Amino acid sequence: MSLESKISLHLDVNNGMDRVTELVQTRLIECGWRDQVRLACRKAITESKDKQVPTVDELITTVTPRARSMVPDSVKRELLHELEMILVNVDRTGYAKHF
Amino acid sequence: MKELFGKLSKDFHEIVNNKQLLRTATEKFLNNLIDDLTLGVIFDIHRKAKTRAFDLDGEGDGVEVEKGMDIEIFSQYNIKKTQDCVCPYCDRAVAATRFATHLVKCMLDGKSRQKNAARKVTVNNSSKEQENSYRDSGVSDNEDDADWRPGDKRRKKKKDRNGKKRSKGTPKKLLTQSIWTH
Repeated sequence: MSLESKISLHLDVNNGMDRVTELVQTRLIECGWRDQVRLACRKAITESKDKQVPTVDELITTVTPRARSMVPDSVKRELLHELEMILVNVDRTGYAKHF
Repeated sequence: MKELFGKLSKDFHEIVNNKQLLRTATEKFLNNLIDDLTLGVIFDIHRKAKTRAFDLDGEGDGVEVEKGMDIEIFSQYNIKKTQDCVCPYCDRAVAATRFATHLVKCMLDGKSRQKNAARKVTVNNSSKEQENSYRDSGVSDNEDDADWRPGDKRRKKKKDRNGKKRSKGTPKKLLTQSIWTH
């Protein structure tokens, strides 16, 4: 089992997944990352060959690496710090306390 | 069950206590989350492009935004797109907020309105025909009778009135014509 799937499993067990995804999503929308990704998508569609709409797979291969690099460093650091804090808090308060 | 939770909590405790491991794990997890969100955006945009929700072929829309014009262009564009709903009964563009109330009224009054509209159309047509018939006075009553339809009482009445008038009017004109010819 990979590390990231372990983390998501532990968060799921502790009912923290929704909270974390919401946190990341709102922060990324606030900093305008989503609009940038949208623009990148539209650019990729307009620049595609034969003026046809590219398939989803093609869009994913072109846009995903760009989208990762588009996240501002400060936001990424902040989010990492907050995620770590949440995980440490879960460990402190007791694993699967709500079960 | 308890064993499973014990194992899980032990594993989690190990990850959290090892700072470097925690850092790499959270980084990977965050990257995964970001990828998920990009996937959502990609699906959304792809669907919009396929269903032509925005005009990608139109010149400049995308380009203008790239040049650094504000994102407001988007919002205005979207507002215009979404706020007009065309009523299926009367074919009018109605604001989305008023559409529900309009539809209720339109559906309830639809039948009576349609009847009224049909009446208006027939009345207008008949009046136009009458005007035409007045203009070219040579038209005889028999030609008008060809357009006559059974069951249209209004038309029938109007025709009767006009028939009387014409009966008075036509002989004079005929007379003048006959005078000029002689």
